[in-house]
Amino acid sequence: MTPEHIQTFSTALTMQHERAATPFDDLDSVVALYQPRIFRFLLANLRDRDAAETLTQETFLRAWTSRTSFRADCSVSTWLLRIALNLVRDHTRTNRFRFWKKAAAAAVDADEIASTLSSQDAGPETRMLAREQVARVWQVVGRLSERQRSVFLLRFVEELEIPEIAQATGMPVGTVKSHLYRALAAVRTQSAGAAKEAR
Amino acid sequence: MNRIAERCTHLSAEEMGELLDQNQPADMTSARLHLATCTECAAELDGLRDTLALFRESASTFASQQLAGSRTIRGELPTSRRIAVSPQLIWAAAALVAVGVALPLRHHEQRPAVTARTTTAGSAAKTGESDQALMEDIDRDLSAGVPESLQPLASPAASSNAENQPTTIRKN
Repeated sequence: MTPEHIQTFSTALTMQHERAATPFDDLDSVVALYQPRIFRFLLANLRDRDAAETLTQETFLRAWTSRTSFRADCSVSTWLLRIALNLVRDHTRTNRFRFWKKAAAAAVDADEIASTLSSQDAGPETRMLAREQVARVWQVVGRLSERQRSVFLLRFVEELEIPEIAQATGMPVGTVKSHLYRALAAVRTQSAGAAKEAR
Repeated sequence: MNRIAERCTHLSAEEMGELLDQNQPADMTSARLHLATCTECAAELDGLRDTLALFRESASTFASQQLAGSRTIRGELPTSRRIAVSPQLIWAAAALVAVGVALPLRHHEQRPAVTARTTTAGSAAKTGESDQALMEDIDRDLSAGVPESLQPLASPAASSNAENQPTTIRKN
C-alpha cells in the first residue's frame, strides 16, 4: 500500500466521519450543559446522591456509545432524559434497591431538601410554613409510583411540556396526563389535609 | 340558566393540572368561569402554584449543593479528543502502525548473528561466575545426607549406617 493510497483512504474515512457527526461528539460541551439537569432529575427521583452520580455518569456514557442512533427527532435534553429514565427504571427494579428502600424510607430526607429554601423576603414563620409544605410535597412524591414520580418531576421540576414528557417517557400523551393528574391529586390531598390541621 | 350555577363541584385534579399549564386547551371555559367565582378553588390553585414553584426551587438548590460537593463525574467519561476519532480511523491508524512496525522487524531478523557477536566480554564473565555458583550449589545438595524427615525413604541398605552418620538438613 503506497503512501498515496493510505492518504486517500484516510481522507475518505474522515469525510465519512464528518457526515455522521452528532451533537454528542463534543461530549465536554454536552456534559457541561446538561449534567446539572440530569443530576437534578435523578437526585429528585432516587433521593440517593451516590446513585444519582452513578446514573448521571452512565447516562452520558450511554449517550456517547449510542450517539449514532440520535436522529434529532427530539431535543438533546429530552433524549438524555429518556436515557436517564430507563436507567431509573432498571435501578428501581433490582432486588437490592427494594431491600434498601425498605430499610430506609429515603436516603435523602424530605426536610433536608426543603431546608434549602432561602425565601429571604419572607418572615421566619412564613419561611417555616413554606418549608413544611414543600417537605410534605417531597414526602408525597417519594411515595408515588416510579412512573407517576418521573412524570411529576419532569413536569414540575424540569418544566417539560406534556408532549415532551411523552417523547421522553415513550408513553402516549393521554397516559402521561393520567399519571400527572394522579400525582397532582395526591399532592392536593396532602396539602388539603395539612391546611385543615392548621385551622 | 346561569352556566356558572350549574357547576356544583370544585375543580378536579385534571382541571387543576390544565390550569397550572400555561398552554391551556380551549375547552377550559367552564373551569375558568368556576375559578372566577369560587374563592376556595382560586386560593387552592394559587397555593398549589406557589408550592410547586418552591418545590422546584428546593430541587434545584439541593441538587446544586450536592453536585458541588460530589466527585467529578466528568473525569471518567471519554475526552473530546478521543471522541473526535471514529472507529474507522482507529483501524486505519492501527494498520499504519502495524506496517510501520513490521518493516523494521523484518530488517532486524536479518541481523541476528551480528547481535550475538557484539555481546560484551564483561557480561560473559558475569554469566560464567553465576553458572559456577549454581554448579557448586547442586554439588552440595547431592553430597548432603538424607534429612531426618525423609529417613524412611532412604535405601534400606544404608539405613543401618545412617544412624551413625551426621545428617545435614538444608535450611532455606
